[in-house]
Amino acid sequence: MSYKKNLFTVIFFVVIIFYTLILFTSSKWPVLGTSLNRAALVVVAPIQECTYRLVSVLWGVINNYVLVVSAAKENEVLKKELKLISRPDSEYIETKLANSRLRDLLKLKRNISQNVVAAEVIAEDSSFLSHTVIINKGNDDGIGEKFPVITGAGVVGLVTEVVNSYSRVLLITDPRSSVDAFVQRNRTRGVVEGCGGNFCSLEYVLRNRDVNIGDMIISSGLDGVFPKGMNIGIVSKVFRCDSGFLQRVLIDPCAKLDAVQDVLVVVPTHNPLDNF
Amino acid sequence: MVCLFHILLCFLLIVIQTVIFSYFPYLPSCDLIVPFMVFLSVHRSLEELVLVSSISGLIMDAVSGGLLGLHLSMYIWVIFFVKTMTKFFYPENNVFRIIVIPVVVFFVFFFMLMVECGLLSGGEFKQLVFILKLKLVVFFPVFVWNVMVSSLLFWFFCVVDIKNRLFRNLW
Repeated sequence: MSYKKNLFTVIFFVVIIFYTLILFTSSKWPVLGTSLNRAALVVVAPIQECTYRLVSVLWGVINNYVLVVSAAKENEVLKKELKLISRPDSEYIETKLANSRLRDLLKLKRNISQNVVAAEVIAEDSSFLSHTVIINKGNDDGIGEKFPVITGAGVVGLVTEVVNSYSRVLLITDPRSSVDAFVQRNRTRGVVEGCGGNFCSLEYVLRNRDVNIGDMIISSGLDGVFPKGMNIGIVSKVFRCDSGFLQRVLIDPCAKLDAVQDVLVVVPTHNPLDNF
Repeated sequence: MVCLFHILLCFLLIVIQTVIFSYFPYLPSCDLIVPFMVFLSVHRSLEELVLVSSISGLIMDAVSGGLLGLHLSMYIWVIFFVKTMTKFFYPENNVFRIIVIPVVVFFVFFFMLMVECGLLSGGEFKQLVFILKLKLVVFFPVFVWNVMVSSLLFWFFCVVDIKNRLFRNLW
């Protein structure tokens, strides 16, 4: 019994060391995890979509039925009055908001010369450090890797993995993301990189460049991926250390990435993978 | 059979975490597997723990699109951490149940931030310290939220477990 217990303890320590080595190796060579992620997307995304649809229905029932019934119990007359006159029901509000979002996307679609595919976000990332979302369009809809994803408000991210009906989008707030950009006011160039939370930072900006809080950062188009002139974010803080050549600029993204629902995937005229 | 049930429960927690939390965009995300791992570390055998943590870690790594091995190694370290704590505290004690989650969540945050900052800083110590300070400020509310949700979930698992045991004894 004791021998068996000791053996399991030894195996446990070997497993700890082995997994830590895997983490160390994949941080040096991130390509190792890509095929695993793609396989997981095929298996997990349909289940996530089913759950998403189920929860949507339940959410609709809660909003449109349970809350209305409980309100009716409190005050029947007031409920009727609110429903008919002063307060539109949640379905109406939802339709109005969706209409507004889709109008924005349509307006944006007209302004872009390239083809675009509209998609819906069906799941968010499970980890709070990496920032990705899954959309319900994939290879079958003409989407490929490295295709830019945008909304009416601005840049959302980049498609990183694609299967038949789903794709994973790397948001611009993810630490692995980078977008060539410049300050709209004076064309100061830099690279927008994700820095976790809901923020990005404009990197490689020389210390003597004039960057102020409130400046708009837009995509330069020089990376060959994102269309030129798309809003990325607004400068929220500027860090200038006592030493060093560069300054660090914190950006608040224009697109509300924590609540993004409808997006457009831009289908480039040339394959962006040719740039790499 | 019990092990399979725990793996399915982990899968369910991952689906809840990825889909249902997206309905509340203003709430920070929370790793629901961590309190479950803590609960299992207290109550289950080492061989079962290795199996459940490996499978759930692998699923989390695959689903999150992050680094391969991040959750895999994090969960195994959490188990090691909790098992070490149980050498010094009696696991059925309420004091242990109260302190274990904040301590483990802090450990998880520290682990993930060190991994992320190590990557962002490109190995430069000064840069690492700067990013770590920035992150600690940004992630403090997320940490508090994680402690609250994880504690609730952990207590839920404990209560269900106590009721199960009582029921079994009565039967």
